Amino acid sequence: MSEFTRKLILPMTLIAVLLGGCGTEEGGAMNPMDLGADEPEPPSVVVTFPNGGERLGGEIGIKWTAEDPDPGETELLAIMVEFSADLGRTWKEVLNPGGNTGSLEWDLSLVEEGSSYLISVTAVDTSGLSASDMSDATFSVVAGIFIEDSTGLLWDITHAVEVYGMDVEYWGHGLGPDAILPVNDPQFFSPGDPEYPPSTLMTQIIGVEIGGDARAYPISTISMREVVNDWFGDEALAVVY
Amino acid sequence: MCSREIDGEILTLGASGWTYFSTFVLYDRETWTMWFPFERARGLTGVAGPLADRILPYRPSVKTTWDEWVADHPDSKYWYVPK
Repeated sequence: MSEFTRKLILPMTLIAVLLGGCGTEEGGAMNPMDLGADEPEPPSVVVTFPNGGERLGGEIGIKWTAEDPDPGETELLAIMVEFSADLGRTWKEVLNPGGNTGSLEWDLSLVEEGSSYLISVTAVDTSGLSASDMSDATFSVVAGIFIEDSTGLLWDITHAVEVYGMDVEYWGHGLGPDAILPVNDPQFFSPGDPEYPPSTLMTQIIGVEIGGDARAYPISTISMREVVNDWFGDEALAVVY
Repeated sequence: MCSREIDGEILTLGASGWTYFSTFVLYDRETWTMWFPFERARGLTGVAGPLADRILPYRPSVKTTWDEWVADHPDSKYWYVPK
């Protein structure tokens, strides 16, 4: 992630940076503008999301990390978040009321679809020193309502929201499709097997009988795996709970 | 219990990792359609994805206890997950 000082806010800052950068000068004491040991250092900032390549829509969280080497300054950093829809030619601000919180909600339904989006985050400390970082590459904004799970998968739930009223705020967990694996090759105990449960066992089950083929699925086991993909003869069925 | 065959294709259902109002949202690995068990629906409903608005119809099943089930179905098999 590239990091560079983009703007120098105050003339004082400019002088301070120039002085600090003059490594060949002998001794800071020669400088009348020397700010001594308390000379402020510039902050650093890195855009972490979106950082390029993403296809996004709906409400997303722009994420960054910004730090300042001077004591107590990291919390005081002013953060300006901007986006460009045209490869960085023009920039607009995303209003950030929160300061250096590390993330900012951004409603992509308010911007045009496009594939040339970039995010820039600028951190300015109380001395006026600043740093900026940009997404490493462009990302796309697509129409629709998307939710991103913890594995980074993006799910288009536009239809669920618009047709079935399944509002975004009631979707939860988002652990990813591999968090709970279905059972695709279920194993059964049959009568006569040593492990076949006694007929007195009061375990809760889902019972299914198709064409004389009866099977019992203990609910506690179903709830651990959520889905059993099974066959009854040539009929493909799934036990879901 | 529901069918997982649609238009002659077999779907492999699984948990999408999402919940909606604490109910699991399922998906199928073949089309990535999201399936949801709405109350009063006659099957799992495709709510988003290529098979949206389609239904995977429920098949008759009963919620009971093993002792009652096996009394009526003495040949019943019993599902287990190998350790």
